[in-house]
Amino acid sequence: MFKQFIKASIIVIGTLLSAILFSMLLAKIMPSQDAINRLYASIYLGLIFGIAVMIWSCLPKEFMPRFYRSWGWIIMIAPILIVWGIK
Amino acid sequence: MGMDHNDCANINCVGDKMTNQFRQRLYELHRSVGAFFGVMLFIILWSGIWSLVNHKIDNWWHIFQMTSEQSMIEPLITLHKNLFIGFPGRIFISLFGIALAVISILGLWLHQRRLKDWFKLCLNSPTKIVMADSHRLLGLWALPYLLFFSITGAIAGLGALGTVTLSNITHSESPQMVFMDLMGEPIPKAAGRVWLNSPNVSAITIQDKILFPDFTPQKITIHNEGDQNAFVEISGVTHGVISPNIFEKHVYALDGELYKTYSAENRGFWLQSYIANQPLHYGEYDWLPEWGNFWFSVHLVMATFALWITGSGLYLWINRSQAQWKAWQILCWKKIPIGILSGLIFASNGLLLCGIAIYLIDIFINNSLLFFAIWFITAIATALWMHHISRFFIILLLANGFVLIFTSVVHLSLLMVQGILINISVDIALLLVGSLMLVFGMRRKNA
Repeated sequence: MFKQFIKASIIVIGTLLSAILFSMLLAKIMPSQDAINRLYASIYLGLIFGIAVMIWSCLPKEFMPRFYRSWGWIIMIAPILIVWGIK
Repeated sequence: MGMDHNDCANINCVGDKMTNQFRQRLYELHRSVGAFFGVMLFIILWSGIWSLVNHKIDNWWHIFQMTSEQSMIEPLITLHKNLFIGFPGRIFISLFGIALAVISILGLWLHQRRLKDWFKLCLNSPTKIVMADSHRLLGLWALPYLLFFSITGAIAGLGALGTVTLSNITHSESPQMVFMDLMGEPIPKAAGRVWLNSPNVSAITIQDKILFPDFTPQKITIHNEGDQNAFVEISGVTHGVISPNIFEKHVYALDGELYKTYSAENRGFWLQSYIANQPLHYGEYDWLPEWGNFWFSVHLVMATFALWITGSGLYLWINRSQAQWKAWQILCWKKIPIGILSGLIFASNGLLLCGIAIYLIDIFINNSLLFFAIWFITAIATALWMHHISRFFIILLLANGFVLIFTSVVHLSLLMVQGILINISVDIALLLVGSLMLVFGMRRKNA
């Protein structure tokens, strides 16, 4: 049970990090002149993204596919964030 | 949670896109995520219902609160808002919104293609089957509200955190500007010269009613009072605009001229959604003057359904799993959760008694201390009495029923002595729930 708990925590942390990075990316690149509207769009869409990724990551029975699904987003989003120059 | 392993394996999926294996996986996920977060979700929903009701029954409480402005059920409200640990608690609680959304979506996915699940409820069946059916039935019908509670609850904490952290990206020049963007320009500072005459507040209020007929004023504030740069601010709700009164304001200068208006109307979609979050989550329907009470009732009923769904889910999980459990698992997954939940229910009702004691005996009682003391003692008692769990539940039911009936009877008596009968709907609700508990407890005792 302890091992399962650790594995589930790894998936949840990966999903939360992915959602945070996704929100940051949206806040930076979303085409909207209104900065405050962009900020809340990124929060809402980030939350919906987080819920969707959480469900999608939990579906496989094996640990590794779950790991890829939750942490894989970070590999995709982080370079874009670096290129766009997030401080 | 409402499906057995065998049930799941026996599902006929011929012609169905979903395989048995996948359905089994969905069931396992729904069950384990529900079991893991269920106790905390129950605490959040239970305290949320009390917070919701407290907002509406200020007058009902008032008769007991002769010495204190603070609400008797303040511990429950704080528990729902931040678990008594401030901002980190608020963020922690909002994460359970994500858990509730995940559990609800998994539940819908599990039952979407089984139409009979949407209508099946046999009240004459054994308790376990009634619990499983009601869990499934209410879960499916209340799903929009479950998602609504989860998203608004999550945004209540994560929105505040996101505003602070993401402002570095969206307002990179000066992140502090985000609050001005959100709340509007601040009122100008005092000029340092004494005003020649004070503002005519009643004339300004009448003028505001003429200028904005769809606006219900709730609060009047005078900024820079005594200064030439004084302003009268009327805050309230605009009909049809989902926004709390901190965002709906009309500011008048000292001479009564309209200086500035603030409103959520005509602002960006996502910003409007964020502003609407608080009234929607807390069931504040003042912006719907004619249908407000109706939607509040729906909100309350759906919140109660959400609580029932969580409670019945936990019941099913605890009852189903204990056969294979070891001693430590029984302690962690049965004794402690049942202790925590029954303690919470008992402690909440104890606060009602505390309110009466303050009024009748005129003694000081620290309601937070009392709340946690009852919660803790009941939790320990439950753990110790777990071998006689049915007897314990009968005592708990009878005691809770007695407290609710006693409170409403005392409240009604006080109202009659004063010759006014207001807010008796709350008393009727308490009498009804209390009587149901007593009847159910007595029936179980006799059985």
